[in-house]
Amino acid sequence: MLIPHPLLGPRDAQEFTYLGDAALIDRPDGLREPEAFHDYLYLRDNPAGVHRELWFHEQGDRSWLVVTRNTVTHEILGAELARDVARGRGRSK
Amino acid sequence: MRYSGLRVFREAMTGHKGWTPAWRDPDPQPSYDVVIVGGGGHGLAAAYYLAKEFGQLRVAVLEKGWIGGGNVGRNTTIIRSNYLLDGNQPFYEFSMKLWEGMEQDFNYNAMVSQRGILNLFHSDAQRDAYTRRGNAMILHGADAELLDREQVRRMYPFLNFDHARFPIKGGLLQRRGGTARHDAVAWGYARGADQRGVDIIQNCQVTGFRIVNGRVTGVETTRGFIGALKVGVAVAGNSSRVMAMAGMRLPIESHVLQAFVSEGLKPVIDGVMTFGAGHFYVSQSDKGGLVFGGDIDGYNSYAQRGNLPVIEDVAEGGMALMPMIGRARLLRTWGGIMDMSMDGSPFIDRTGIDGLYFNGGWCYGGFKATPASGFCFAHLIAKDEPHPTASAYRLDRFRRGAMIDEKGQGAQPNLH
Amino acid sequence: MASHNLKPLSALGRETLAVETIGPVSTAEDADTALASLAIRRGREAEVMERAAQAGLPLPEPGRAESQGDWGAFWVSPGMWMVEAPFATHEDIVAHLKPLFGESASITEQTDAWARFEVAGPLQPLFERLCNLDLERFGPGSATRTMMEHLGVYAIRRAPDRMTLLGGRSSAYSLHHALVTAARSVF
Repeated sequence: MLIPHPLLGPRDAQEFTYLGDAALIDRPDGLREPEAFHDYLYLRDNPAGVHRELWFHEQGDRSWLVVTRNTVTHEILGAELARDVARGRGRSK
Repeated sequence: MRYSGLRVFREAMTGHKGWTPAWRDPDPQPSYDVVIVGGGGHGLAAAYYLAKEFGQLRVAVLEKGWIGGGNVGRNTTIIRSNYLLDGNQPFYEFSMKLWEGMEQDFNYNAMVSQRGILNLFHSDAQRDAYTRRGNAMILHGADAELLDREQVRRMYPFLNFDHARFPIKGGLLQRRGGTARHDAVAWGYARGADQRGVDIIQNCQVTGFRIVNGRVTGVETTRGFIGALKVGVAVAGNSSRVMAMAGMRLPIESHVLQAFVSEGLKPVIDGVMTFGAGHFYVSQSDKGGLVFGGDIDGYNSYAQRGNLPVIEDVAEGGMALMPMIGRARLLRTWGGIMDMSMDGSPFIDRTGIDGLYFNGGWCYGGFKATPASGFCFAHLIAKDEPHPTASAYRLDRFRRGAMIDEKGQGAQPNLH
Repeated sequence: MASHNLKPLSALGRETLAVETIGPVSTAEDADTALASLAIRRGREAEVMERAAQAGLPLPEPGRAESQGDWGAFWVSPGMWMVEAPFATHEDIVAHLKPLFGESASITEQTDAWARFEVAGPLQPLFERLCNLDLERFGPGSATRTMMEHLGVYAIRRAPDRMTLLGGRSSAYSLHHALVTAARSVF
């Protein structure tokens, strides 16, 4: 699979490590909401079809990407910097 | 019809005119006491034991395709009970004992072959870990032998004992482990269940659950509504999709695992062997092909096919262990979908919906568990309480902090 | 200077730098370049770019390498570069860079963390064996990190026929072995 890196162009998926569902960006406060934290940590939607997921360009520029990929065909539909996604949701960093 | 050597002889003398289909092809009835969703190994085994051991007379197995067309037909056929933890080892040893009596029990040749499984170790620390594992196995009534380097060399003289980074120091051998003919396991359970009155309904996809006041009353299917007092789901590779129809999110990610078969070779590996320094394992089929595999590809997938980097990784593992494998040509590769649970251990449990039961999350290890998984699932469905050997496989174990982290890795690919 | 019996060893553990010539390709270990990483501190991006411009130190775009006078730099990740300078004059490269950037950037000595090889000759047949870089799209002035034989490596294309490779110093021997093995299998 080739991942279209927003800064570097197409890169072999071998250079990346995979974390999973991009919902992991939205981490609840485990002390205030233990139930939500349990669901965050252990439960997954695990869809067959379009899936937004986190890939880390470990053997590259060390960027976290949010990649949109079809889990049935392995077709990659897009990639954006996870930093931009998080900022788009009002996170400060 | 009972299969036997005498029967084969008699049929041979009479032109093989007396054989009948191994199971019926019935239309679904309006309702059953128990409906099992998923006609794979685990579902068929559950139906078989429901009928045989727990006296359930009105049981149906619903399969969206053909029986045995999922993971029970796509695995590398290894059976073993070499686990460490209390929540696991009694279950897998129960499974091993069922394997040992299975063919006589359901009167079908599943080619169960106890040719031994050898886990190699490559360091002192690994030797200590395998010593501990072997002791745990023996304490739970299984068999285990720790072999030193020379004993391994007598079994497999061609291994790369003096690899610069991963020299072979010995191995943990379970002689009762081995292989079985994977399709025949599904067929044997299907035939045995059918003979005991279970309706096996193929080409019948479940499209929804009918749930009334928190209780399941049946399933919607492509062949109409089928009522049921109890519904058990055993749909490896589709667990999240099917349970989502009941409104559940599971602690599961689905990943693709690849397997490989070489061209047929003369007998060279008479048991099952695992490399301890990378993810690679190998056995040899009765047709002569080397059957081997390695790690999951490491990303969510429902594609039943993987990518080249893992093929390269598996090949490198094989080359490090037995360099002569480089001369063998690869005949086939394929992929299966593993429902990877978050701690690497499975679930056989009730759900939040009365009468709905779930069996899944078997990660790489579903095949060897087939008999015990079916038996314990049948026990749970029939008695509404877990079988003693499967009592740890609860869906809420993460909330309770009672994970069964046999390998300290689940779906998380970076831990593999 | 105090007298001692210590001899400097190269990243490959030798007293002299390794130079191999295999067919039309040569690979040469290089110990003449000082290296430091430079990372922009939060919110100081404009200041870093301005100070760099004043100092004549290029900070190139993603995926690129540039040089100007004594200074060279290649991009490694968003807001971060590796800065290069001649070892003979910039052995204390961090002491050179700190005054230029003040508190606007974090600067870390990297020289001895890396083994550096200069590869010269026909690159395409060699690197298509070693890694998945597409050299057609990786022209002179390109720089990236990628994998060779499972090792993380920075590759900087200096010219159509020259590539600089930086690999972790602790695995220098493995990278050198991979390079030489690939070259021997190709040429």
